[in-house]
Amino acid sequence: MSGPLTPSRLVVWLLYRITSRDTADALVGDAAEALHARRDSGMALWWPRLWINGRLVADLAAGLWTLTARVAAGERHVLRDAWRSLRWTPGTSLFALAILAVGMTGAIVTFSVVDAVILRPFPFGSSQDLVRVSGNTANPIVAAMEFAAWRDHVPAFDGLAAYRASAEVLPTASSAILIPSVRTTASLFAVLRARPVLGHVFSADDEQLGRDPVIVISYALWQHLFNGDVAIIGRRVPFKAGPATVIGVMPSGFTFPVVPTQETVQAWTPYIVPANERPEVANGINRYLSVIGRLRPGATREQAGSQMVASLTEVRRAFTFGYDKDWRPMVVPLDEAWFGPVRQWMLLVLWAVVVVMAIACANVANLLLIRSTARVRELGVRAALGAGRGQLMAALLTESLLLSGTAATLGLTASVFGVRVARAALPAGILRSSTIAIDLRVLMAVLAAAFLTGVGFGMVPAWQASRTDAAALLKEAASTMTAGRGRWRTIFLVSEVAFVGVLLVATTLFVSSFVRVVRADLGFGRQNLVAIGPVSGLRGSASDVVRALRQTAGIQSAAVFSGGSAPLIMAAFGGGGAGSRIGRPDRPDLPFVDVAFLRISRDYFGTAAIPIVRGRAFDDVGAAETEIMLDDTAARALFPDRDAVGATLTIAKKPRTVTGITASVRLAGPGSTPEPQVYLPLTPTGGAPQFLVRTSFPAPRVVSALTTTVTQFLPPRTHVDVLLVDDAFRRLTADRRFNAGVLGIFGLVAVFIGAAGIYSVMASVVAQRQREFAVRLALGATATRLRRALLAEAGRHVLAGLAIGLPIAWWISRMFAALLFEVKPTDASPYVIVVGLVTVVGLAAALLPARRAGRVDLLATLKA
Amino acid sequence: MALGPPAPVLSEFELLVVLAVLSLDAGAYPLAIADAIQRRTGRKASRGAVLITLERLEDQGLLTSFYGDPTPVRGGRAKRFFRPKPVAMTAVRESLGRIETMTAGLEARLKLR
Repeated sequence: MSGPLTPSRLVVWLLYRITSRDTADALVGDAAEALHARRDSGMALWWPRLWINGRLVADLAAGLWTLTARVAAGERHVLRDAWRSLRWTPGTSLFALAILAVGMTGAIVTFSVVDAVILRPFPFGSSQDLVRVSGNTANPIVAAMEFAAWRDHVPAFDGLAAYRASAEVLPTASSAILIPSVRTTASLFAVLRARPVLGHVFSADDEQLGRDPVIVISYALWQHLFNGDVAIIGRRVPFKAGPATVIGVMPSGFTFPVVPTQETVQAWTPYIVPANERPEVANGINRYLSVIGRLRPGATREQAGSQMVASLTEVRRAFTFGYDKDWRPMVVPLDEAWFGPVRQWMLLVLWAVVVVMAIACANVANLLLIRSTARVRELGVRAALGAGRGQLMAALLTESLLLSGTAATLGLTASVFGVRVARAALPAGILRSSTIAIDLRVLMAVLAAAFLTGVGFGMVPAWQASRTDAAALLKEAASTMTAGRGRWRTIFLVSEVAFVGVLLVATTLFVSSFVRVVRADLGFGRQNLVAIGPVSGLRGSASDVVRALRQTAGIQSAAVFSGGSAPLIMAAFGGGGAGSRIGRPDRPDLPFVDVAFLRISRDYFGTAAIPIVRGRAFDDVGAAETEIMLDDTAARALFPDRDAVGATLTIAKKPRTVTGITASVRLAGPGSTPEPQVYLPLTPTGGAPQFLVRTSFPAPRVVSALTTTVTQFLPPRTHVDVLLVDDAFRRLTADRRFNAGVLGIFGLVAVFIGAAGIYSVMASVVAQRQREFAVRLALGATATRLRRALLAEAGRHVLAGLAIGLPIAWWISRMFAALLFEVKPTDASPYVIVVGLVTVVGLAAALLPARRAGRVDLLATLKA
Repeated sequence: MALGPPAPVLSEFELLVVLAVLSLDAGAYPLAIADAIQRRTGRKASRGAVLITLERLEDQGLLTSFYGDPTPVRGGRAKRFFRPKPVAMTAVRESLGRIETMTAGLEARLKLR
């Protein structure tokens, strides 16, 4: 290649803007010469064009720096002038300031939330190598045997740790403290590269049966429960399940797991493989462990996956039952596994706030444009006195930056309160939400935002104001406005409406999706439903408790059940369930079906308001061993060929007759697929009893009465879980509620700012065209016609904005279709609603200025 | 003692830039200055940093600049040459003098010469 390379026209154009033409040319020449020199000396360049543009961008940065330094050194008066000028029109300035401050507050609060919850890295060393390991089942859990095979036979892993959620109960004088904890293999701390600040962590020796129980606690627990006592190491703490010795305290800020929607774990105890799950004696695959691993340097997730399959040959041979044909291991980056779902909707909120800021910027840009139109005389005088174009632009840009800087300061102050509100409003249990604060990162982001918005909304007005020469400016002062300014005003107004349209479509989609979530048919009645237990060590029988519960004031009905959990409770608060695979002996060709078992008393369906769609409920006294009920999903899966009622199924080697089919229950809340559910009659040996209670008035008011009733039957100082099913529902839908709420607020703000924008533009149009209106009135136009013409103008802007905004909204909303419930981004209704709303609001905002146009004082205006 | 306003105090990098301008004489333009500093001192000098410094020195009245003739290797673009003004000499002399004063008596410890 020979001859000089032509650099990017944009870069050269920018260089011309910030420095003189000659200097810019000299810089481009220097870059071209340097490139030649490199070539001549034999240095290879793969991307010469990229290289030369890189050099010129560096020159651009240097030029900007010099410019800034010059302004700071020699032109301090620019700042003073800007301040005076803003004070000259206090109304416009305050209005612009208010809009910007509202936008900034929203942006700062949103950014601090998103930053704290999802953008900050894990508090573990080299976390990019951490992965979650599981099978490709819906629930990412594995069996102890699978874990052992992977740990011992997969060289791609540097370490592998298994854990399961648990809780320690510490009895106190009056009640008990529940400490969320994790049972984990000792390898966890090595995998995370985490060391305790005090004491030591447990070792593989502590994973043996019969060892003295030990516990590692969090810094927060150490501080709050044990007052930061250094002598805590070696102390035996009397937990309800038995005393355990505290052997270590983890550093402040350490927690594991870091799942955003779960409660912060405060303690870690050794996981001991139960005797009946050891490979030599196990008679089935029992999956409940979560597994994380650290990839060896250089190893890929794919390598790990294939080694995992190979390592399982033994296990698969012994337990064919647990493996489908399409079972395969999954190795997912931990960050994605834990934050993926939350990240999606949090980033959506962040984008929404960016759109709000864009609306605010377009609006303020228009205000400044209008203001500079009104200031042409002043600018003309300044130009006539010798101010260059650069100086005029600098003066106007300084005003914008002063405005955005002040707005950022105000926004920052308001955000201190806003962050508190956000912390309270966030879905319960969002991890790290307590760390949301305005810190250095947020401050830097605010500074950048203030600068970008200042330049963003100030650039065009400054450019426009400095365009015409002094004589033209002075002449123009007497008349109305230039075509250029009018065009920019239209562009800003139309883009503002377009942004409002985009945001409102998102708002409408998410709010209507949330309404559908709340109204969704879950297959049972969730209101006023309370789940109690499981309880152990009952004095008396479960039916005694049910009888006592029924006599408690405010209780409509009560039932007892065991073996699983009440609908939504497990999905929201965790816990275990009983499940199995069952098949049809008469139809070996049909696949086995994974079902969840629940043992229930007969009145369970009435209490939970689960309708029986066919057949009858079983007789739980006489037929405990011979009858069974299925829900609709299980019935369809097991009996695709016939009616299930009256059919026989073999459960635990006993044939049972299906007496009835109930409606399907969405155990994990709206959006989940109903799992096949099998109901068995309650037996006295069926596991720790739980109770389901329907109250006749709002459940929260009955909770303490319920607790008192149940604890009468329990040993003293026993903790009992009394959980509201509605609370579980709120927890499961918290992210949707938050999204709908935030987008709702943003939508409202956008509509107000948008309306204000249309109002201010139309008002300025009317103010500047008074003379024209007066002439038209004098020539016989009626006030109504003038009004109509102005409304039509506003309407044209609104429709143009919507014509641009709605296709963009349609395009964007397809990206977050996964976050919506029973609403498709392609549905017509949100778009119809938005068109209607924006048009009505837009015309209403234009009405007042339009009326003013019709009331122009003919004589006074024409005389002036 | 010369009359007139005192010469500005030069930072280390400014001193290097002015010295490079002096040594390059008629051929002092940003690219050559950056090269000269890098070649002779081993210190990496980006053209951007040199440019900022040159413009600042021009603002302070130490340097003056003019445009040369276009050359084909530069895509027909002219060079911007920099020339020192007399006050630049004073500034360099004073800067070096300050260093000399401060290093007096430290030659052995600093292993100068």
